[in-house]
Amino acid sequence: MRNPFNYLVRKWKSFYSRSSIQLILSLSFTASAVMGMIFLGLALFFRLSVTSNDQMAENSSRIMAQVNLNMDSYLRRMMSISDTMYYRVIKNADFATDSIDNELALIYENGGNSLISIALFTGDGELLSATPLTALKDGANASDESWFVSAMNRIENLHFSTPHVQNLFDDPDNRYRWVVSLSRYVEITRNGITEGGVLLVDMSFSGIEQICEDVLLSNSDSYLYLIDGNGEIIFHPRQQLIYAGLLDENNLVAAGYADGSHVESFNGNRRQVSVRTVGYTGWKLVGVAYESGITSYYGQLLLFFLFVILFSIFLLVFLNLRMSERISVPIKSLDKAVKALQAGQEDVNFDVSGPYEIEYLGNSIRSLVMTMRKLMDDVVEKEAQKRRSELDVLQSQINPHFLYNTLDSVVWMTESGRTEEAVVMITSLARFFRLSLSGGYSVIPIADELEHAKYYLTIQQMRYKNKFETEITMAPELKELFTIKLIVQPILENAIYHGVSVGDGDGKITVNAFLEENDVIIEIADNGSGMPPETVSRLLDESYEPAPATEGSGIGLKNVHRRIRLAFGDEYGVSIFSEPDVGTTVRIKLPKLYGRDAQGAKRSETNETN
Amino acid sequence: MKRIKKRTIMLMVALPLLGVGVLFSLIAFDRLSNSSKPLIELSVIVRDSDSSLWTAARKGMEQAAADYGAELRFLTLTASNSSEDQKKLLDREISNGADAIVIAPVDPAALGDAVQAAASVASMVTIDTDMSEYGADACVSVDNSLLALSLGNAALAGTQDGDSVIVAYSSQANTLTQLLIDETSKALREGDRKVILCSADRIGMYLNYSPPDAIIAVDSDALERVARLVQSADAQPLIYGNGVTSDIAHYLEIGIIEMIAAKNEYASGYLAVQAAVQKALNEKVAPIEYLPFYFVTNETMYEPDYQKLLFPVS
Repeated sequence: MRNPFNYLVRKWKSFYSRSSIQLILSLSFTASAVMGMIFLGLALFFRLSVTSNDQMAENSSRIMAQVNLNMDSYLRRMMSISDTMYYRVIKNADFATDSIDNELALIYENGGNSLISIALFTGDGELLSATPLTALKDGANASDESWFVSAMNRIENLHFSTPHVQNLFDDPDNRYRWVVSLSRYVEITRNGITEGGVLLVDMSFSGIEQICEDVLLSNSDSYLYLIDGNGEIIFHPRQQLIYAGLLDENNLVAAGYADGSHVESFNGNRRQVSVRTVGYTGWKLVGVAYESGITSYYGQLLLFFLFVILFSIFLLVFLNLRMSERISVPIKSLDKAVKALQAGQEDVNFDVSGPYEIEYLGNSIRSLVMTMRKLMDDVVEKEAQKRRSELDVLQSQINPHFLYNTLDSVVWMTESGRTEEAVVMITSLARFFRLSLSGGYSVIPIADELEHAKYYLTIQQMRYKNKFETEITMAPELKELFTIKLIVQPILENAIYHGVSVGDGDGKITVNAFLEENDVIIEIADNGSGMPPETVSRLLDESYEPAPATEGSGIGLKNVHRRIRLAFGDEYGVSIFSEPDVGTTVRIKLPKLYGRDAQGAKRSETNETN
Repeated sequence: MKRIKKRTIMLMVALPLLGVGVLFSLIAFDRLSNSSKPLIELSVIVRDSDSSLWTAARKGMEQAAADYGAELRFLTLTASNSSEDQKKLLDREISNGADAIVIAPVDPAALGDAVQAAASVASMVTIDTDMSEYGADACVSVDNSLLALSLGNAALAGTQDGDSVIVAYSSQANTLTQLLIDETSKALREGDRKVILCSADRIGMYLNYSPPDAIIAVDSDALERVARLVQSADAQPLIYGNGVTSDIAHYLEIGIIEMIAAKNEYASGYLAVQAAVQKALNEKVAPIEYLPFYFVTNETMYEPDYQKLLFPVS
């Protein structure tokens, strides 16, 4: 934990080594795709934010321009009415003789709903003509009104008042209307004499309301209000709340703003304020957008991107899992096949479909395994051949010495005229060899092996002039069992040469075959001179090399022991029990063989050629 | 096998489901973002059968409802100043699941139980009459006692000791009216004026046979009737009153009415709905102080501030 980076690298390596190829592929694909998407998403988000910001500002500006245009159009219509009144009617009339009531009524009718009243006053406030209300209220004095004063003071201009309740005219319905008054100085002719007067055109305030209300600039929090040059509110969507003191507006400060965009802080909120002056009037349209609203919009935009990215991640995970599965399944199949091979399964299938490289790898492994198997079979076969050769060599060590002695005896018998005995010996020798060959089989019935022993003993008894007796017995249950051949004869040979032959003539050799538990036991016992324990222990010791001149080296016994162990394993073989001056018992332990199914059961090539 | 099965289930079911979930969120995104505030159902029960008397207040209520995302139902009575009607409407609105109630109670004592029951399931704001002792959450009102006292003082200033002053009303069933009558009468009596309590319907008789020196009409309905009668009568007593309508403004302008007490009805309606919705949303509700009231005369009625008060823009 000293270095967090190293710690993380170790963790990652550990995870990497424990994870499947599919997981690593999925994670790698997903991670790289997600990183790419996040990068792309953020780049798009920032770009879109900037574009969106510009577009919102442009939209606000366009909307403001449109509202300004509408307002201008509305005011121009009023100005047009005023101009028409003045230049087409008032200028052409001599009020001493003419009445303009009809023209006034006609213009009023054409003025539309936004026109509330038209009136003409003399310079001292006397009403000359008015429509639709034609009389002033008792005590009403037009010359006191601000619009009248403005018109008289600046005769060259048209003057727009702030909204006010029109209270000059006597309305039988007691209606009080909010109006914006357009007033101008006019020249009135009476009896050919020109004098000053004031023309009044009252516009409905609702016309201005209709233009300004429900205007959304850039977001739902934005609004637009209208002030006069002094900052007095003409229209505000929350006008009543402001009048009631429940809401504040920064209108007095906004009156000082030049046309364009400004950022202000009002009541703890940062706001973007756009100002545009309405022509002729000096009024100002003020658009307000709270930055919190814009930030909220960006927040929503960011959230939208997050949703898109999240959705894409899910989609990618799904697709990557499927893709990595398609890639990794052949590799996994290959891995599984190799593991099955390791476990020793023979029929392993290396046919994996998939990408070319993996298919090629599968074919290569299959080829490798086949080569390996062939090599192994070759090794096994060579080993078997080697073992068979060794057995054959061991078996072949028996024959020459015995044959020489027997034939020597036959010669001796024939020369001495004991032809009948010679015939018996030759006959026994012939049968002995027939059984030795055993049709080339190395595994023969136990009965044949004992018969072979019997002929051998017959020959030897004749050679040693019946110096010893023999007895061969076999348990009936051994009739069907088999053994490797020529395992009894070498032991009998030892029993004769080293046991009974050196005695005083009362020798006896017994061969007894029987079943013990699940094993076959063949015991060869003699009552010869016996052996001390140290001699017994040397007889089966492979490391012990007898001196060549020594008589009775025990090679035959060792051969038998080695052959049995080679054929059936170390738990079988020969064991020797001997006591000096008492005798020796050699015990052969064999497995139960029901036929020629042992390794050595095959016909050896050597025997076949024989 | 188990692992393969689990993975298959995850691939075939869980991931597509999650994907569909995200897609759904994506589609529903705008709707979710636009409906962050819950919709509050709010009922307003006034004490009159004529909704025109509440025009300005109603506009304020509608503005507040729009600002706070409430759905507003404006209910008038079948007969003005009927507590029974109010009780029925209140019970009906509560059983219909209203989240908030704004009510101008006719008689707090008669409505007490109903208000108490309603206040336990909905936010409850009263107008003009405080019912906090019955569990109402807030009251939006001017200081009616002070208003009545001020009207009485105005009449005292216009009359002399021993002069008779009629205190006119449209209905005594209304507790607010009764309070105004009581407080005005008390101020007048303390000023050694002869006080006559009279329904606006019967003012004509007094004007013909025993014209008073001044009349104080404690509600707008009574004030309109009194002014109308005085305009056509020979006697021209000084008229003071409470409330604003376009007819009252006309009588003020032509001098029939001497002075009126006016309050901002729009603000009253706005604040009442604002408090009710905030309470229904479990938001913090700022304590509501008495709303101001103003005395307006013929000379001051076109001053910018009073002009906006007497003739609401929109």
